[in-house]
Amino acid sequence: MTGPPLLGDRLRGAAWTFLTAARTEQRSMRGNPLLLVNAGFLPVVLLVIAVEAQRPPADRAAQIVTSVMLTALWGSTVWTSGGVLRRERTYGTLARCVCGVESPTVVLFGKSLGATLYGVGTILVATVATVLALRLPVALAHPFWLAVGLLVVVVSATTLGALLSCLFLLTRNGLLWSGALMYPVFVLGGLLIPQDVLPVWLRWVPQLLSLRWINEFLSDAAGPGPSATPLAVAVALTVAYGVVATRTYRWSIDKARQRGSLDHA
Amino acid sequence: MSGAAIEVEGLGRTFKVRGGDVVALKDVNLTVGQGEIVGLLGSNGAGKTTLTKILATLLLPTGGTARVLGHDVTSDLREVRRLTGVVLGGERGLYAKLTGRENLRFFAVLAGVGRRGLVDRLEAALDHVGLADVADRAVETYSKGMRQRLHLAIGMINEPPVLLLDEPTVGLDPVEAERLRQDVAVLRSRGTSVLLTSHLLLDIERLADRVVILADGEVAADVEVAEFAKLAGYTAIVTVRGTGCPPVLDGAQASRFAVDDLTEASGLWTLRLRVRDWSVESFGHLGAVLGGATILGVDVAPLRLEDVYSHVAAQLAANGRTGVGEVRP
Repeated sequence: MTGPPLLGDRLRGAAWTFLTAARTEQRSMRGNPLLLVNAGFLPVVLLVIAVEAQRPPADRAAQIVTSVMLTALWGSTVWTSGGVLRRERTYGTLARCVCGVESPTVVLFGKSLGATLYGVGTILVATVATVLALRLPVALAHPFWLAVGLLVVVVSATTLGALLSCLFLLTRNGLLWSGALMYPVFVLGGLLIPQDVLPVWLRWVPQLLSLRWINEFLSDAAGPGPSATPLAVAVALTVAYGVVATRTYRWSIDKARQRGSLDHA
Repeated sequence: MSGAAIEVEGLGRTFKVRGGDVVALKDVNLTVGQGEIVGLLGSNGAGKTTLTKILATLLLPTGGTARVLGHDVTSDLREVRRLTGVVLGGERGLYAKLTGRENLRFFAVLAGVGRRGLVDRLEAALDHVGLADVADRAVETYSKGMRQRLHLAIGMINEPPVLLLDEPTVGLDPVEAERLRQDVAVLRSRGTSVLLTSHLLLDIERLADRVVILADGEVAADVEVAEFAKLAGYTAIVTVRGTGCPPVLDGAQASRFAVDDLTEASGLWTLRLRVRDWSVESFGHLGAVLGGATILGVDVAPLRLEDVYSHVAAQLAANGRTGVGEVRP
């Protein structure tokens, strides 16, 4: 038996656990039908519909492609990274994930990252293939900022997925909530339908969605030039998602340990 | 740090349910020494799994304290989890789509196994539980016994000094169950402390140093295995079949034997005697009891722990302690 680990060892241990959780979740995503539908099929359908009526010019095409990808990412996030804890409960693995040596939050965020990376990768492949097949003239004016935007997309979708996962853990009907949340955000999220088309009293909804701000940033980066404000708001919202997710998860675990419901299906 | 691996003092756990509270544990006191294997027995609902879950930090107690190697299970979670291996078993608790190796790898990392030497440790653990040949198959193709063996590998992968085993041989065939018992026996020689919950008293008989019986959420007995066997009040059952008049025990013989059952039909009788203390002299005493009777056959069955437990459970039931958590309005 050894004594308690040093800070450096603990950080290394947390990083190792985080990466292993991400890798494990990626592997468990293989062939997941929800992922294939939301990350593989959805962007293809949305893109075909979006350009069917009228072929857009290069700058508008980039905006459409970005909006479609982020819309598909929302669907993927709700069902995959947002469903991490729901699936753990179904498999009966939640108790072990919570009672590991490292913080359960590290495992949750690692798993959410794994699911997000798989989703983003699938969306990118499906979208690029569709853009090439449709011969859409997409311009990449600022590739560096597009890469920055992509990084923020992954981090933000990871924390958003973790937050949704925690919220779905609070209810036994997480699957129903996943379905219920998906389409309203398609309509109200400011991704496919412009925000100014929404009723005034509903325009606050997209302001709370980091993907809407990232959409604005990426659209600017693909056209006239990146703007710092939407990126900053997206990062701030991402941090807020992370904080709320962490607190909600700790609270859920404490409650489950009090009630004895940690290993319930 | 004290010398005990597990210390439980006045431990209580009450579940709130509609219509009242269910008391699963109340004022449980027990210790498991370092390198000791303690068998935990009790009827369904006696509180065994509740106790195991509290020690595994899956459940918070509502009263009392529990420590693992001196670390409190409610406040020092990281250390308790680092020092404790848990095997809850069952068909759930695994990722069905992942392979056995992928499952073991993930849970090994959660248990604190670092990158260095991980691959070797995985190979050794898979080999040890006999899953090396199927390690790269998806768990959804595993039999119940294979899943149970994978649970065992997961629980022992970080070689914890304290191991909580909840029904470890359930679902295993006799050969696999025996291999598991040998594995646990090896752990004893390494100094691992084990709290073993099992309905199979063969597990307890073969492995445990001590037996703790829970009833109604309390410790009803806490004795050495050898002492536990004496709780039944006899050490063997002799079944004698004969014809004619059945034997009658006199006062001296009654101190050595107790008539368990006597049936007569069609001139044949069957007498079941409980032998209080089986020894070489018992044959002589038995001969005196049966002297003059026409004997057709004699069968001697040594006491099994199942018999002891049945006896103890019957006594507990007679005292109004059924082992099932009571409901308080």
